[in-house]
Amino acid sequence: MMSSQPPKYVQTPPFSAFFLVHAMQIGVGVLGFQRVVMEASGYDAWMSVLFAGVGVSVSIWLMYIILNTYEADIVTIHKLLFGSLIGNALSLILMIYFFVVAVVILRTFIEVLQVWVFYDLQTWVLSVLAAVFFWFALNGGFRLVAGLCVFGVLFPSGLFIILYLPLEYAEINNILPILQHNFQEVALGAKETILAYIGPELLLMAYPFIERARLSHKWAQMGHAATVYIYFSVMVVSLLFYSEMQIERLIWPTLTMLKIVEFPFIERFEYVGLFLWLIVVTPNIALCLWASSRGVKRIFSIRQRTALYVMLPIFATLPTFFADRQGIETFNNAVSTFGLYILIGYLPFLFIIHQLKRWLKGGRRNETN
Amino acid sequence: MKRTKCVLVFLLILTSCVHTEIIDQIALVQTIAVDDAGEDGFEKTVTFPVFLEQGEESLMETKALSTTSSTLKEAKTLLNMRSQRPVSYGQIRTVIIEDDYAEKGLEHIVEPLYRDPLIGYRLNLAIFDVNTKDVIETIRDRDKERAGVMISEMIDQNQEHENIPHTDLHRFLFTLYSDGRDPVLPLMTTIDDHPAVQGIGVLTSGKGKLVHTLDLKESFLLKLLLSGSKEGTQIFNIEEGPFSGQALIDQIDSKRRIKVNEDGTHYEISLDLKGVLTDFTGETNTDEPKLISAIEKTVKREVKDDMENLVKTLQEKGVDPIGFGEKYRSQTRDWNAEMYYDTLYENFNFDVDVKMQVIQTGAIE
Amino acid sequence: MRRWFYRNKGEKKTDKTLAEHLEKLKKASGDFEQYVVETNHGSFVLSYYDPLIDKKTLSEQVIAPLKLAGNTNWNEAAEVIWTAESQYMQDKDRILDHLARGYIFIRRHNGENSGWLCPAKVEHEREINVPEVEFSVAGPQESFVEGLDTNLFLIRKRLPVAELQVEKMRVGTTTQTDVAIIYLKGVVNEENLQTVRQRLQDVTYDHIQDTNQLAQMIQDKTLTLFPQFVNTERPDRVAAILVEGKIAFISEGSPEAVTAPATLLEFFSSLEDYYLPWYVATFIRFLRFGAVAFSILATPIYVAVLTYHYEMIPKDLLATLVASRSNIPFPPVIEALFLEFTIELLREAGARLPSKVGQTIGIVGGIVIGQASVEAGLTSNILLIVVALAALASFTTPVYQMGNTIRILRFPFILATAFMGLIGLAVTLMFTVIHLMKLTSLGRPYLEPFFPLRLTDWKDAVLRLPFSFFKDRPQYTRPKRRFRGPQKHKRQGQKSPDIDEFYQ
Repeated sequence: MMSSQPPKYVQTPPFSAFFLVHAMQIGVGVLGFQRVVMEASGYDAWMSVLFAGVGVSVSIWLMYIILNTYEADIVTIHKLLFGSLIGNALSLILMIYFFVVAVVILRTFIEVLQVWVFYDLQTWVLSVLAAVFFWFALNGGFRLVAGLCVFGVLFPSGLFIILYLPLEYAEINNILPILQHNFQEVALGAKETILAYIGPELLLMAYPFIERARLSHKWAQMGHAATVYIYFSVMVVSLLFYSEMQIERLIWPTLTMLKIVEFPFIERFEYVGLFLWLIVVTPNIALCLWASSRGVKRIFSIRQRTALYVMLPIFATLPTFFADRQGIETFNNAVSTFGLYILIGYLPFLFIIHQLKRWLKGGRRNETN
Repeated sequence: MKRTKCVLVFLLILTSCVHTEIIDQIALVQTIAVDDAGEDGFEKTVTFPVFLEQGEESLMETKALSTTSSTLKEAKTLLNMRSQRPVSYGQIRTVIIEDDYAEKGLEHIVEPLYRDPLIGYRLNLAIFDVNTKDVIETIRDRDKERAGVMISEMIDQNQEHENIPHTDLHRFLFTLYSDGRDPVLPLMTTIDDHPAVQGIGVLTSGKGKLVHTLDLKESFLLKLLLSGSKEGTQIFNIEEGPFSGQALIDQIDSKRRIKVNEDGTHYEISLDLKGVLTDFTGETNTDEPKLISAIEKTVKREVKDDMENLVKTLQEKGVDPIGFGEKYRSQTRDWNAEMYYDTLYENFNFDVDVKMQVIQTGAIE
Repeated sequence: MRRWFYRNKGEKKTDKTLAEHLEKLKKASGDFEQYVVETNHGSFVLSYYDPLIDKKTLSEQVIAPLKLAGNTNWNEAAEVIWTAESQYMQDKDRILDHLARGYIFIRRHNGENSGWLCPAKVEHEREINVPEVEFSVAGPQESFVEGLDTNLFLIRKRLPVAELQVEKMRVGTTTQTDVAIIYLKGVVNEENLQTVRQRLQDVTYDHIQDTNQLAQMIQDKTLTLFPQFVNTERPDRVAAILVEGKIAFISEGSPEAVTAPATLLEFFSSLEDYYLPWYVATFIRFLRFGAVAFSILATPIYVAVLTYHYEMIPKDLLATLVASRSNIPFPPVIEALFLEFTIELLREAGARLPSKVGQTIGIVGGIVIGQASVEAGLTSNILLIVVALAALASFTTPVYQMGNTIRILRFPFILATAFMGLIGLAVTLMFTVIHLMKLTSLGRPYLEPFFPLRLTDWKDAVLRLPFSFFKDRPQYTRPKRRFRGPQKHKRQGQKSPDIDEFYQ
């Protein structure tokens, strides 16, 4: 399996796991996850956010146990666990999922733009522009994608403080009394939050590209912790800012919230928010496209460029098929639900299979002895 | 390969031209005025600045257009038919509404503002007890270029320094879509053709119907309860022992606390006021500490009485702008909005406790 | 190697002896001198290019000793010639080559094809002067001149150590320009050095007049707006970067040295930063970063906001903005391009015109044209201020080339915002970022210490912390010796004295 090991000079240091995980998690979700979570757990939604954070953390831990044993990417692991045929089929499904996530993020971003700024912006214009952009970006390889993640995290972080400014309007009574909802509702809300947390599964592909990858586990957890912190802040600020029925009807509460931010030289910060958000989602899409094209390369043993030649045109055309809000919403939900099951269903399953296999092997070895 | 890519990008840019909104090519609506028009819905008047090009110095004026419609969006189309430049709403500062229309409910006026991403959340809403189109016309003639933002700045100023509680679109929406608190809006009138703040209008949540009005004194008390004041001004009639006359207390700084008992039916409102005595019409020299304590005593009594009356009236009217409902909800676990307004609210008991301290008497004693 | 190859090709046609060749040269070129000098020990032929020769050296150190010397034989002639490094030479090509570089060739008047070469080059050089392009208030005030030897002297003066090594080579198929590669042995990364050496050797262009010309030929990527090597006219800057473990090269006749590898941030740091206290320097650096961001983004943001995002304008600014734009017949992008173009024109004219005229054009022209275009209703006065400030801000970069980059970089941003507002701005920004991430300088990442992220290098590249923090060299040059001084162990903690107590 040495052939699958990328050369040393394309690897990134362990701390890049922080940026990979964090950049991947902060994406489409952060603009509008409040509503779905609140539908389940109302004003106790902030607890759901924390619970979901713990859940995803466990799933990252499981993922690292598997990855550390094989020290290879998921394609290899699948092959080893399920044999060539089934393994490759499973990997292919995963790669299609990564690719579709990229499409969903792009389509959602275009939709926000169409609603918020350019109502007559053609979908294909931005999607083709995006395809060209990602062609350039992915040609730089994993290092560049990782670099984009660093940029996408560090650049907007300076303006993270603006998310706290709506607290001027905070009404503390909103979140009282604590625990109005029973545990089931909170758990349901947590499940909805995980939709926003999906992203760490990209490490399944990125793992071999991290130097001394074992050490990157703590960084991945820290990246995830940073994500939980941001989602938690956004959630609490939104809860304090909006009344329950007011937030229920908003599609992108985070963006709407920024409307209140005002400086002497600039008003209506949601436009700045959109600007920054583009910088946030770019590494998101880049990472997804990189992972899926890398996976296709490994499964079919073709060049990654060839894979991209096929994938990018599809990437540019797919968004145009989802024209209305309803369609996008359904698409979005379907994909994130799939992601949810990968994160909390498939990864533990993989873990169990892995343990079983090891146990069986151990048993057999004992027999032969 | 490189060249084709470049050509592709170039073509893309060329075809990607989107609808532009260059600031001097559009009519930037700053004020919307809504009047009742009976069966036809409402009459909507918008104002926007225009420039008369006169040589080098360009003269700014405010133009007004009005139309009658039953929805705001339709009104936009109707206005566009009569406007030289497309009407755009991204710079709206004020929406003023005639009280007759407000009594029918503001839901349909506010909903489009809530839905449209162009609209800012800090815009001011106000209710006029006269025809708002006339108000617009008079200030347009007189204030020329500042006419569009004049009412908005007036409301801001009064909220900041005087006796009106803070209101803006976000707070209005917050309370409109809240089941435990009712929205309030500034109530305005015209005095000698000039708009003036008159008090506060209390609306129902959900439908946004104007149901009750409060005068300036009551609105000050409401402000004390809602957010506390920093710079309010009130006049008190002092009839205490040897002192009689009117005392003007300025820069009233207040802290409030509302305590609820276990079952959420008994509320203890405590107010802590600090103010500066700026004027006293009585004859006594103000250096006597007795006068100060007399004033403090009177203020305590009056504020307490007024506050109790205000709460009682609101209770009788069945409106809750102070947010006792929210308080109740945050304290108990059996919240039901309908039941609250039907049975609970009217049975609440209130205790008001006021502390007053005159901390300065100006530069003289 | 290639150079000899070309030379040999030309040689094959004229297979003459040296004497014949020199005769021919005399006929062909009017400034070539060749005559016979009679002395006690026979007659000699002197050949040289007249303009290249110092007459005083010729008469006092060559002809006079030859004539005054007693009867000596030919082989001892060298001992009577007083010029340094005279050498006996037989190779025709090399003799011809030396002649073209200010040597006198002396041979016996008997048609021999060998003789003595004596250096007698006349030096006409500018005096060492105050730096003009990279002027600084504090610090050394000398700059390179057009002579390679003087420049090497200036560097060696600042680094008087044996480790400072100079490699000379000739570049340019026609001009055969001397190029010196300078580095600090033991500190420099050999891989980088080999890259520079290799790339310089591979240059096949015919004439090299300036180091910058050479730098463009050997940079990693030519399809970019960003310079990949730093050029400087300050010897102190060169000395400083040599100590960091980088490489410098200078070509003969160029008053500028080029240093490699470079990072983007290096273009924003001036050596003056190190002569000022660290807090002042850090402040000035941030000022520069801000100025550059402003310079690139101010006009595009104006265009974006006025074309698409009028909602963002605060109400008090709205009246002013609309008023200033109400008379203007063009959309903001045309207005902006017009003004930017005007400013660029003024700047270019200011640089080209003779200095006395140039100054008048720069200041007065700016005011007059700007004011006139506002009055004529072609541009708004707010944009005039924005553009003028942006132009001013682009001058804060200490390296001139980066200033040019910023000048040009603005235009794609303006065009992008004209098409898609702030989103166009963000897209262009992302394109710029990935472009910068892909750029390398001698194969080293250009965006270091941001990409790859190396926080330890921030202390010197982004900030300018006090010198006590600079114990090791920047990582990205991969220097052989990491530590600047001897690596000290941490001093055993001595408690700092209490109030009103002092060290004994």
